[in-house]
Amino acid sequence: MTERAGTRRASTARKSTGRDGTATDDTVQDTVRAAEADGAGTDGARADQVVFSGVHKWYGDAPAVHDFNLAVGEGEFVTLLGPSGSGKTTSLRILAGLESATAGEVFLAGRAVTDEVPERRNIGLVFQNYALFPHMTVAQNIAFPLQMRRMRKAEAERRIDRVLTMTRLTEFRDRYPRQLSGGQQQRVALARAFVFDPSVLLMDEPLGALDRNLRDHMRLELKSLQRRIGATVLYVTHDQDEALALSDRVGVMHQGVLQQTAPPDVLYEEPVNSFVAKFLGQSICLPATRLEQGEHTVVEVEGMAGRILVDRRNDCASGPGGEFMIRPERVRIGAERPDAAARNAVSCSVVAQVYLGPQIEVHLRTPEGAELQLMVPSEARARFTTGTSHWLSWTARDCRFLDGVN
Amino acid sequence: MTARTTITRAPSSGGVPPDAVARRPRKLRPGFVTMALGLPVVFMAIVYVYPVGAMLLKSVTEPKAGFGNFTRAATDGAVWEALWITARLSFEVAVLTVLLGFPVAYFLARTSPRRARFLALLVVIPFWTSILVRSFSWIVLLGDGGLVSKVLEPFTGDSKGLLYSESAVVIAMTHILLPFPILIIKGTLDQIDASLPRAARSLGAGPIRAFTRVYLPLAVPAIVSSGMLVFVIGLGFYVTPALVGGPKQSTIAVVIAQSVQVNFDWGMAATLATLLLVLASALTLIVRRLTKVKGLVSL
Amino acid sequence: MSTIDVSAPGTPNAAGGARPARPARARRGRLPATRAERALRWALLGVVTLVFAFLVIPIVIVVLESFNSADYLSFPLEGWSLTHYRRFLDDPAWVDATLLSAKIALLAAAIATVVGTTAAWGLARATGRGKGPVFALLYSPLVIPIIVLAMSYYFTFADHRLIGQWPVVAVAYSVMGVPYVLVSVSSALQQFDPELENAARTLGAGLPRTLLRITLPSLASAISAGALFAFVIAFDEAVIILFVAGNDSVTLARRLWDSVRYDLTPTLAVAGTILIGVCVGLYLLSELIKTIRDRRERR
Repeated sequence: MTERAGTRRASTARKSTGRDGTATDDTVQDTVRAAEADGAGTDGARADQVVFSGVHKWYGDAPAVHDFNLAVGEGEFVTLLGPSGSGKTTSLRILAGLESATAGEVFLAGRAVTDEVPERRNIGLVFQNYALFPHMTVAQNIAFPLQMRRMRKAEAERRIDRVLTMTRLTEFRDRYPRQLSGGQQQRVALARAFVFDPSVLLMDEPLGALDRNLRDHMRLELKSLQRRIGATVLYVTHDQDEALALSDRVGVMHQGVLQQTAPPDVLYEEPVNSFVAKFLGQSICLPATRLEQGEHTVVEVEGMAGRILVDRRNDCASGPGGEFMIRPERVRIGAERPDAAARNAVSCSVVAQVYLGPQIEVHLRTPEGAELQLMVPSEARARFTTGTSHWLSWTARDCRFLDGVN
Repeated sequence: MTARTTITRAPSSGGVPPDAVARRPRKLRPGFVTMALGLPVVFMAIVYVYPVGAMLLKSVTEPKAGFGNFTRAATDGAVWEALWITARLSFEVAVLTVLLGFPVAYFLARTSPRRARFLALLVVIPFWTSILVRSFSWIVLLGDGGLVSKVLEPFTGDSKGLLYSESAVVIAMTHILLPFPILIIKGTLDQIDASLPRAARSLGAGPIRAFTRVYLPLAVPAIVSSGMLVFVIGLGFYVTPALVGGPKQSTIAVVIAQSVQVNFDWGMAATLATLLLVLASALTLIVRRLTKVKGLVSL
Repeated sequence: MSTIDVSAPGTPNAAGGARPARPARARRGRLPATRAERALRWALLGVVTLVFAFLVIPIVIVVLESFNSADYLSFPLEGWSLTHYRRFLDDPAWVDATLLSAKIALLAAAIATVVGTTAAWGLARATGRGKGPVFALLYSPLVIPIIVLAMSYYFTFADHRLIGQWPVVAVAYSVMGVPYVLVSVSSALQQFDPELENAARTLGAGLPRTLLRITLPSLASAISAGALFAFVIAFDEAVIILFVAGNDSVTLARRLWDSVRYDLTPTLAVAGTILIGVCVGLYLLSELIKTIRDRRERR
């Protein structure tokens, strides 16, 4: 089912874009090209199971999703990460058919499904609150999608037994949802969503309702389960740890716009704008202006004396104004000014320190007034008492010059 | 690796107006929701709006077109008399039901939930009993030699009953409408935080002042609205005044029925029914405006 | 007024230690009372008892009179007997009237249930501006005076030669049941998570199957409660039927009305007892179902 759709996808996508009359819009064209380069283009053997092409969604005059383009390859685990209200759930629900797109197309397994009703999309969706049917037992809940597909009883029983075993729910088969714990309910929702071999598994904050410990545990289980069944997954969360731990690729969303889509390490190391940098992990971001662009980009950072060099490849800003960004752990702290010419260096003094157990958080200020925070192992805390002066240094490769997006 | 990184820049103004991108043409869905609303509306239009509309129309067309019926009604002393009786009866019943209902509601709200549940049953069962049967019962109770007259005999000196008098109608209607204020006021009292009177007392108010200054003001909207509700329902009463009352207790509903059954005067019946409908609707709307109480059906 | 017990006895304290032992004589959340207060409490209890007696006695009287051995209504009873039940059952007019009432009420309840449930779902899922007026239309039979409805149906039935046809009477009655079903099902739909419908659809069920397999089972108790209301309304109805019964649609209520006006016998009390029994019985049944359901939910 999934394989035959593979090679035909790209052409289908292109054709339908043209036919729709939206071809005049450059974004849609670019999108499809980008989507091709992104998924099927780089890896011919892999078919894209999910393609969003120039999807927009407005609620009245309020934009919820803006020009959303994304391709998810077969067996790939892609996460949409963003704060609440960033449009990630809306995008997911557009794919599931629970919301209609204002503009654009979505494809599932090579088939344009933008106007298809949800029941004919063959997707498995794990809802945020699980949406288990309260009047059905665990087994009946899981049997439901099979009955809807008029599967023979024996075959259905076999499948139900298999997924119950996989999700370790066999002993709960005749319980009602309200008799289960949160983690068990979550597993039932998962089992129900993949028992019928959907072309893609969608998950909307599936671990959001669980407590911290259980969430970490379920995260591992989810990942190993996904590997075993080889499912294509589109996952939505606001939890960056979850996104980084689970995904092959993460798409960061903000204000309805997909800011950047990349594998977790690339996303962390090479954020394309200050929103992505700040949303994922700790970062130091300061307003800055580009002075010249050559072998290195030279920027002037607000609150820092002298010029700061940024590697040319790390210059992602579209104009001269932007934000200087560096990860705190890439900053070296020393008592003296480093002599290596290749290193950027600024002096600053400690304003405050906060003891956090294994580490201390050091609040620093430059003479020109920029404030930044670094983490230091706590055994060194005696060196960072309030008022002491230090030199901070870093290489041009470790810092970035980005568009400011807030 | 970088090839798999797509970059989309944020729109400069935080969003493009909806018309900037071609919207997808909306597909016409089967419209289940529209059907789910449409079919009941069509049903109601045929079996409810049409008959009521036809009746309203008769007030200006029967026996001939014009407002003749209205002038006839306005100049008919019996109509004014009936309106006055109806309003007076309803008012008396509204006051009585609220006066009797509030203590019961207060008691039910303050007693243990279990006891309240059982006692509420005693309120709801009469509520579920046919008005006709309850009126019949009052005929028995209030008739000459009935239970009430026997109880009152030592005081009045004879065994004459109250039947076919205004008191009889007021008693029977009070009995029939009493569950409304009890249940509505209880619903509101249940919402009042039980610690409020205690808080008032910890602040130095005596028990009576804690009640009148803190508890009662919170209950006033429910008291007023349930009283008005009883008044509005009372305006349309037919069975009870017709059975328990005498000729002097001819409410507007009784006059309407007589116009049809005795005088065969459809025009007058339609006219009076129209007046009653307008009056009741206006008062209902006012009650709705004044308060948000609408839990009639949750009884 | 010295102490206010803040926590209920037995509540674990904040320090998380062992449960404090319950005091030997726990004061169950009641404040110490002054003498005046205690007197007021007794007065309240007295008033409440009297009101409950006022509510219940007329119902009890009807039931008692049905067992009277005398040929006339009397209190206290002459003696106990089932004579009048036998007389009631031997009289085809009474039996037929009872069966007809049941038939009409069943049909009316069925129609009201379908219409009200459909509309409640439509209103819960609709997003447009038309919701308010549609709700008002479906709810209005509850507040319109019955005599107005009676005139409307009398004129319409007479104009279209429908007087005396029981299915038509049932359709008219169903209009009065719709608001009850609507409100009952609507409040259940507020508790119902619409995401369950979405879940069913992503799992492959079309809308009709989703409604049948997921939505309806969850609303079952609310629908049956609404249906019960609608049944009782139709079974009891005693005003409209006075005008539209003709010779062929004499319901139990109609026959009771006719007899009350001409001869008062304990046989009427039997009819009244049946009306009370059916309606109160159904109400108690619904309460019982609700209690059982609640208990199962909590497990």
